[in-house]
Amino acid sequence: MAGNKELDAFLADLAAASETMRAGDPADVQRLRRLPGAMGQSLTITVFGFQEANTIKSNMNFLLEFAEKHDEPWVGTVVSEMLVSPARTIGKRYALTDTASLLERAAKIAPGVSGDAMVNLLRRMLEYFNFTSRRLRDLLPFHELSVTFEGHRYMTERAIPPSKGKPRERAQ
Amino acid sequence: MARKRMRVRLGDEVGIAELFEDKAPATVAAVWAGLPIDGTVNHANFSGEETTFPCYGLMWQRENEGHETQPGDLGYFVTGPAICIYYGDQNVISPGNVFGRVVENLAGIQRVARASWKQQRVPVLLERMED
Repeated sequence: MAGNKELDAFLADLAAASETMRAGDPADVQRLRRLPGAMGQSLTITVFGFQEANTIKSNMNFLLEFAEKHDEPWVGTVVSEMLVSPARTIGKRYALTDTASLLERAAKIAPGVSGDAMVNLLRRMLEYFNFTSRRLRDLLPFHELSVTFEGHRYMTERAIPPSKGKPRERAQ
Repeated sequence: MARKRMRVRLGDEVGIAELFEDKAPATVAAVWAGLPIDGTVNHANFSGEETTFPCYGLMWQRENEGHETQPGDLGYFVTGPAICIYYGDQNVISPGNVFGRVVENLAGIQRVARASWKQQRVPVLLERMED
């Protein structure tokens, strides 16, 4: 609500974090880059981290449309509940701890926010996750990955013909 | 009346775009007010020959959504928010507000836009042309 000091402080911090995510060198992205996944590789953790950020962004779009349609006091509670679980995931699994902290603060503030203030909060959150998902997408060389993927598929589906019968029978 | 014009710097190429104030007045006004807008592009993953870059929310309404774009068309994707450069053949899945078109040096813009599939973080800058 207008005059909510906690909300105003949060929006100021969110604006700074968005600009860092857009054009700076965010600590979250640095941490994710150094985070090892299974078998000593980091591809899977980066792919799923990118996808998680995209999912949260999609949720922001949903919540934004929802808040624009329903100016009701309980909307803030719905928003809050939808932010709690991804905050845990994105912080613990992908080391995006600054982002998790922003989500946790938003979840705490949301129940006391409504109307235009809620729409504004969600728009600013959407912008933050817009920049975040793009920064994580920048870590993924889709061209090289697609060449490797198509090459692997070619080898498994075409170059190596499917076996017919038992090897001993084929040899006869 | 002459159309508003915008410089599109993409990598080492510079194109000039005309803005569609007749078809998308609210989007043109929002983009014009937001200029200069900069960022780095990512090539589209689904829709075809398109490269895009995220931006702050310039507006939140849908207008003149382009289901059949022409090469060189520029779009503002509300649910990004993002600016889209439709540089070639498109299979539009989520349309943007088409607000302008590159009318000079489209070939140069197409070359860099296509290369953005292989090259990460190609810089882009949209600027007003006041003359």
